Amino acid sequence: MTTMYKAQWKAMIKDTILKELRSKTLIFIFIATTLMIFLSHQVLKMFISSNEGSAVMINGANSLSLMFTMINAWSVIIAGIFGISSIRSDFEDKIIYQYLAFPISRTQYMFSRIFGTWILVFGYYLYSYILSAILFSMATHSFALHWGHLVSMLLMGLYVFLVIFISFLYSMVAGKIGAFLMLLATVGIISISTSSIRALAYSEYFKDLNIFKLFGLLVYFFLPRLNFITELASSFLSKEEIKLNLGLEALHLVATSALFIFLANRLVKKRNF
Amino acid sequence: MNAIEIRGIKKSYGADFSLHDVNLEVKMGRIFALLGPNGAGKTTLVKLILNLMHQDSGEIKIKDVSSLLAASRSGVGFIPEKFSFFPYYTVRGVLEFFGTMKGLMGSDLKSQIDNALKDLNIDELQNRKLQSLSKGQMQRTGLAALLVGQHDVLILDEPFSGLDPIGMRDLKDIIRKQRADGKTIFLNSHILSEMEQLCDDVAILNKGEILFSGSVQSILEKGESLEDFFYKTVSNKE
Repeated sequence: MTTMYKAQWKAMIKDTILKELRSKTLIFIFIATTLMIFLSHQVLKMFISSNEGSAVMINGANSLSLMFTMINAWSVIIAGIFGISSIRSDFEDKIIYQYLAFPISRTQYMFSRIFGTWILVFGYYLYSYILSAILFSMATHSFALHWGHLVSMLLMGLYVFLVIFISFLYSMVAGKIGAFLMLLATVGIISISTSSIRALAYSEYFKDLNIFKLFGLLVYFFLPRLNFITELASSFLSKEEIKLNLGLEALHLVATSALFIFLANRLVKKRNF
Repeated sequence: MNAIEIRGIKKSYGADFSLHDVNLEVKMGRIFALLGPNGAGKTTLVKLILNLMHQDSGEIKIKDVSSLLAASRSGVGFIPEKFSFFPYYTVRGVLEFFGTMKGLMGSDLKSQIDNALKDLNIDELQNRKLQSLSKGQMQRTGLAALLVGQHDVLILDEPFSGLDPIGMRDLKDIIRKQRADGKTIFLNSHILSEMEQLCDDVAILNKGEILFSGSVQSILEKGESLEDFFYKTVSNKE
């Protein structure tokens, strides 16, 4: 990688982070999350003091796992919001012409915007995670984190990246609200199709085929199974046994994500601005 | 080698707009103006040169490199009709960003920024945020951003619109200075009075067709002003 190329990447990623840091939405979300974590901490403290000596066993790790599940879900929404705004504001402010007139490829533009947004969202995610861990450890007088949390965090980093990618793609073809609704629909459809098709035996895939089942099968085979990442993250969080076929699921995730990224890149390259 | 070479470009979009078989050559080290009434297709052609849009057929080369490649823009500076950038950037911050994206670093970047600020008379504004600038100051910031970088070709889309008489005069001086430094300047304009004195070559585009391409000198030698020639050429085709 040449020095110029590296400097361009760095400047574009920094530009993306600077842009989103000024977003009123981010400031609001940041304050709301901090308040929510402190509130949960207070509730937990009250709960512990009122049940002291009772049979109810509360420890930092259990209560924190619940909190982390909430943070994970919330981070997906945030990834969607910022994934969409990362390019949408370039369109709306009519600044995109200036970026694309630089000697950078559209692929570089796309990935630098996505990485910049990912750094910001994942940074926010880590902040929520660590703040919760500190407060919950203090409330329960036990060290709340275990190695499963670290693995879960890394997995959620991948999940957030894919959600940002999908949001970015949708923001190329729809307005902010439209793209956000499309993202929610996609995540929902992937979730429903994964859980319903996975429960079937191979021989049942094409049995009683109708339009909905066919659509579900197409989604199941050709779109990244985002649930796989969250299910894996939850298993690590709760130290439960992993019941999925890890090798096959991981292979499918890599292949479908690569296909999705390839198609998105083609779309970005073909588009007229 | 030409600075910009356009061969057989066709582009259609919308209900009734298209560029029909556009051929054009912009020679190195010259000031070239693409003239045409509003809606003639000038901005579309600029977008095609910068690969912001894709042609249906034909080829565009910038210094012999296909415009489809990012490398074709490595020596190109561009300013749109209305320069805008994120309001939280300072004037200096914008120039640093543009310089970095065009491959400048370290002392080169710093000295080019200082020179551009001085040339545009905005060195006192360098720490001001864009949101606090007037329209004219904003346009000067855009021009300063255009100058930062190692360019051979500068593309200016309607550069005189929105400038006051002093700004216009300064811009003409800057353009002439850039040509004196061996750079090629591609202007896209409909302000004919300024183009006659400033440009070496012009092309007239109307309804997506090139009606004339040649030197300003060749027009003046016929005893016609650029304005009269433009009016006659465009009305004959109407």
